[in-house]
Amino acid sequence: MQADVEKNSYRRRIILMLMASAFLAWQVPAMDYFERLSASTVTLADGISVAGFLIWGATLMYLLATGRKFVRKNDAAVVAALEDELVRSNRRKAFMCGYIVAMVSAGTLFVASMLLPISGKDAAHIVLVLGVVAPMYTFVYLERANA
Amino acid sequence: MPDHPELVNRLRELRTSRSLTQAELADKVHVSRKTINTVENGVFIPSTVLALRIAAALETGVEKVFMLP
Repeated sequence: MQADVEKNSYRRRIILMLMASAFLAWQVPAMDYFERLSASTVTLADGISVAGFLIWGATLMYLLATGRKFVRKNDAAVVAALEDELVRSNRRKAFMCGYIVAMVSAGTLFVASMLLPISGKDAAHIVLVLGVVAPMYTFVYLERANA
Repeated sequence: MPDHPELVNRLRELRTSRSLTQAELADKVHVSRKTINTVENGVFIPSTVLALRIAAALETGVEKVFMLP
């Protein structure tokens, strides 16, 4: 059983890492602020953004199809072990980290907006993207650190 | 950094004395091997229920597994 748990835990880490990276690749080039800064590479940026969107969408569909369990075989013991106390604790810590990152980025943008022309839309977009991505990377890191 | 560094556990000693691997103990208490490893290393403090399940799997009292110095 533990071999299946380890394998599926690894698969979950890879998928989350892929999703977070795809979300970043989709969202970052789509930001008007960054688009202006890299106007000469707008075509490449658009391509990266579309690829990120497709990967993000495909992984979401995969998770929906598997019931977010990351398990191919429907083994209750493996599913339980993949959602045990340590995993729930790591998830709590990851969400806490996401909250802190969102708050720090909001504060940083607030201060930066006094010196740079940052629109409310861009600021909200940056906080949203960091708030989504930070917990995913943190969860992957914590799960890997405990492996 | 452990949540409660003052908590001592004898999980590794008791487990090896019963010739159990981390994976075998994990199977008995329905958690992952990682969880047993982090409990042994004092990184993760288990809930009361899991502590009782671990103690039962080792056929001993929970106070023999986890204690304060």
